[in-house]
Amino acid sequence: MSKALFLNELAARLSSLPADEVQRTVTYYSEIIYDRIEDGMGEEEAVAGLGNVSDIADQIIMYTSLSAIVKTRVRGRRLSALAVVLLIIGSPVWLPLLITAFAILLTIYVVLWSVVAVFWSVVISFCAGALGGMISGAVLMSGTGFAEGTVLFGSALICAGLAVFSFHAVLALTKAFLKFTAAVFRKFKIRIALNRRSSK
Amino acid sequence: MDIQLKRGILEICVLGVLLREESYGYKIIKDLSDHIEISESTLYPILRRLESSGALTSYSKEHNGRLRKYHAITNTGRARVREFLEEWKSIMEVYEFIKKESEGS
Repeated sequence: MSKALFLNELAARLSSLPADEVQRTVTYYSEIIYDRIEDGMGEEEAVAGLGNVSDIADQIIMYTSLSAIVKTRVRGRRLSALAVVLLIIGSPVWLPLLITAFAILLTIYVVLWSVVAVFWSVVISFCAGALGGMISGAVLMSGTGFAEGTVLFGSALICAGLAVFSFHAVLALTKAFLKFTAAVFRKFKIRIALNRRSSK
Repeated sequence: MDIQLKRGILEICVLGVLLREESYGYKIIKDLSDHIEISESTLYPILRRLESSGALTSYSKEHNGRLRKYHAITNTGRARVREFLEEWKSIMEVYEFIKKESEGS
């Protein structure tokens, strides 16, 4: 791929970003390619060594804040008078639908987190059971009911063991869930940026 | 290596290169490539972050009939390198301890 083609392609893929951001990026890569050529590489080689254009563009989109992307998207879109009128007339229909869609997404998210919260409360109750059982078991053992106290103390120890096991399991689960959320958000961001490209 | 850790180390590496003299993108990569893996597309966001956090300043200078962007370290950047060295001194002490323990066992 030639230098001009590479830079054009890069600019096109970044079109969802603010113009000065695109300019900066293109300037940077242009300088790098020049320097690579000056270092003795052929133009094709200098460009090829940079990697895949779409990977580079995605990486830069990831780095740009979501608000900047959305702002450029909104600014870049011009609505005709008819579209504005239709939007206003149709607002009783689309506005509740939009709010509902958001509410549903939010609910799904909250429900997912509440599953995590339930698991954590199991861990906490194991801990509380272990602690309470040990104390009351010890009190019983030193007092009247040695046998009952021993049983209580023993089951408290089992609780403590379960608490340790479940703590690690739930911690792993929470981490996996956080990773999943971050991945979904990343996909969403790239999708917004890509959408703009195709609608252009 | 953990991504966050590598990103942080790369930032310090770039600042380290700039301690000696101001430099430009391609040269920074060449100077670093003997010590750590870094590509053009990794360097770009690092330079942006360092610039926006005030650790370096950039300006364009003419070179062979074109503009080239040079980066120079600021006092904030120097302070960050010092912080890094201080922080890693204690980490290296832990490293030595763990190494000794693992050899002893």
